[in-house]
Amino acid sequence: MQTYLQRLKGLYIPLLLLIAWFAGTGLGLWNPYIIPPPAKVLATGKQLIMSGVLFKHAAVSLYRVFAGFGIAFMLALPLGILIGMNRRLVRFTEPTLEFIRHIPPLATIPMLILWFGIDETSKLTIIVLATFFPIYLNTVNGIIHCDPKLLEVGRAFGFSSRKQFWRIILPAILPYILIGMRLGLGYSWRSLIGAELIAAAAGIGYMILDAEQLSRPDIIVVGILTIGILGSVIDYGFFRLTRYFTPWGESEEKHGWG
Amino acid sequence: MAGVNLSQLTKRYTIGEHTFAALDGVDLSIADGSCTTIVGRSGCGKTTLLRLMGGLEEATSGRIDFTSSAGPQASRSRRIGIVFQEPRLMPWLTVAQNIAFARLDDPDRDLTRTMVNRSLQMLGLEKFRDAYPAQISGGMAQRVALGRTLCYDPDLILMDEPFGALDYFTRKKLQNEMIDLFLSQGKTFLLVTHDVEEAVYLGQRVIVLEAGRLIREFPVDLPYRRKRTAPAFLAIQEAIFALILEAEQPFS
Repeated sequence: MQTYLQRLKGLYIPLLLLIAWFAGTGLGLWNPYIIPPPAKVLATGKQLIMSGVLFKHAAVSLYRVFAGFGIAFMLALPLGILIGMNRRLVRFTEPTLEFIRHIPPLATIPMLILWFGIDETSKLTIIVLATFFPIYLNTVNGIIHCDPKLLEVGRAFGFSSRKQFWRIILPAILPYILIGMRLGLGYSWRSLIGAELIAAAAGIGYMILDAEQLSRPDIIVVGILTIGILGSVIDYGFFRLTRYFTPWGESEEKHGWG
Repeated sequence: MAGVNLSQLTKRYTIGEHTFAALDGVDLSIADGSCTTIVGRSGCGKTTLLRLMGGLEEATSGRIDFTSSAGPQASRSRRIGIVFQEPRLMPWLTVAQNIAFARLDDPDRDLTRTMVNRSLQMLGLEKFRDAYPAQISGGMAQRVALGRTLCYDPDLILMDEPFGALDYFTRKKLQNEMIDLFLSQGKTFLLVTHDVEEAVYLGQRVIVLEAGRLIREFPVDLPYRRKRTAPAFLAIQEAIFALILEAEQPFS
């Protein structure tokens, strides 16, 4: 009961904002073009849902996020493990990766369009660039911070390096990997919307850009709310998954949902 | 079972331009099925000695030869289990899984299950078999660490101040449990500690180490469980105290 009450506290601010939105509109405190009335946003949302337009755009965006995230994960995890386990390699990779890490993926859009056109490849590349580093860095970090005392237990029992990896290192870095994945997922969602705002023919970002050109702030608000809701739902799903995979509770304190 | 012979065992460390000997030509013989304690102040080399025997570090010079009452063939396939000062349990494994840790890849699952159950029962941990290390107390965690080593079924058990981080009452309780294990398992136990009373209470023989050298050994011919206030017990304890204080010299 206490936990439910605690969780309800998170609804106070959204509720206040909603009340302010209703009240401000009702009292005519602002121009309805600048901040569209809640009723209009609700009606537009309903219409976009009923016509299937919102689902179509959301599905395209979700596909891009998960595809890009999947590719980034497949690249970042093995590379993170390889570098983490062979620290001498860090000298070779660090300067290049540090250089790339500091470039905001969105800044590369013009070049990506030039190389890959405006279809899926350029958008997936942006997501991969945005998602790669949190997963990679957390994996390397996890291995570097793996408790040497635990590794010594393995050595005391005569574990081979292979067994040390599977029985000690991998489980020990799992919370780090999951946190990297969760951060990466958030980054990929944000960078995707950015990419869609610039060059796309479908997706939530495109829907917002299209609404801007049609002077439909109500659709823009529906788009923004959809992004927020989908992002939160995915994050919560990931949090549950994290809990499932790390039942010993080490990673819980690092999450906001607990 | 396994015994061990150390001859001229030396370990030197170099820090910057300085080289110092953590162990300096130690000769020691530990018999099969005995319980030996090594006592000395911090930095006397007792942990280094244990780490060398456990294969966690390489000696600078000298030899470590394991012996077995079952013959030279058996001594080659000996198993050594180490109980560290901290439990060092895997946080992602339950109590039962931690105990089975050294055997998780053993194809004989029935044997592993039997050994885990036996360890859980012996150490009074049955109720906590599914708990994670974060959910149990320090004393219980150290018991799990002991169970993990027992489940590995070593011939020689090396213990590095295993009760040092525990509260007074838990320490006393676990000391008695260790004696029961020693008496029931018939394995060779070697325990290092800085606590003279603990060394005399547990060991059939107490070895005093000072500045990397073995300075004297005391046989303790008192039956288990020993009375800590018995005159013979106190006499040995006093003699060891006096020896360590007398041997005090700047660490080099």
